[in-house]
Amino acid sequence: MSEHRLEDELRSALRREEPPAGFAAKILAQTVGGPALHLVPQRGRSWFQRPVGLAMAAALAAMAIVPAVMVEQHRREQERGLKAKQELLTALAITRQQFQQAKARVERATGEQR
Amino acid sequence: MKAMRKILLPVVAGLCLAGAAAAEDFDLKALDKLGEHAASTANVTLNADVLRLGAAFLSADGDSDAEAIKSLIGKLKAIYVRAYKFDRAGQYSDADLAALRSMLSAQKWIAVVDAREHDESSQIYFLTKSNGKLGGVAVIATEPKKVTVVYIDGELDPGDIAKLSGNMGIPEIHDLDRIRKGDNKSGK
Repeated sequence: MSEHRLEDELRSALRREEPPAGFAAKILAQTVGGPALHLVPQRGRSWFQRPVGLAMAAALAAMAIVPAVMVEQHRREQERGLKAKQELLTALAITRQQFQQAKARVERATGEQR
Repeated sequence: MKAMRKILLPVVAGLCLAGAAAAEDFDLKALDKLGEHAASTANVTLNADVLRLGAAFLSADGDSDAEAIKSLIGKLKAIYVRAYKFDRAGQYSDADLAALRSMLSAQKWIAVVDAREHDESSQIYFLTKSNGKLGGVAVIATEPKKVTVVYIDGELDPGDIAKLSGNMGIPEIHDLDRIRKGDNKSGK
């Protein structure tokens, strides 16, 4: 019973239908006098003309550039830090030298007084 | 609310002005004239950010005294060093340092050391604070062919002064020169 029903439904769905009136005329008008359709075959397009190719190229470029930028940024930070360390040590060394010099001068002055 | 604003605004403005005045108390521009005749000058200006960065790099390098230096500079706002070397004696005069000394004769500063021998001198000044701590330290050292000024801006414990004048793993000046040239055999 159900098999017959399925067959009927298929037959109904696949039955031949006549095109609407003027369909053929419309198609002819498009091909002869209408605006030309520029259909470029997929295989003929360059990779950069395809959205997927373009996205992949952008992703690859980003993958190549981002680590380089990060490495450069790290190098600059490292350089800045080492310079700061060096200057800090220099400043502290000069300060210590001045304190020790002052101490020595005071000791010499008080020694001479005795 | 308006009354509160009337009270708070002058207080906030006063605090801001006090902070600005403290910084202006020690104007290193007074030393510009010295630099004009100097054969060589060394200017080191380390603001709070650079001080912290430098200390962080000391730690990163595994410096054994990094923690001591970090605790010492923890509350500092800046360190300024100006060192001038002259080719001949007499290329600068005491008058070139007068403006700086007059700043340091302000009430807040006290001269704790004033040692003079022959034509050399060392003066150390402390900026006093009401909480028993120091608000800054200034050092002026003169020799016939050399002038060095150090200004440490920020809160310091009196004990920190002993640390500053001690070794604390800070390389000597000649060691620093060697490190700069790339010979780091001393490990610092």
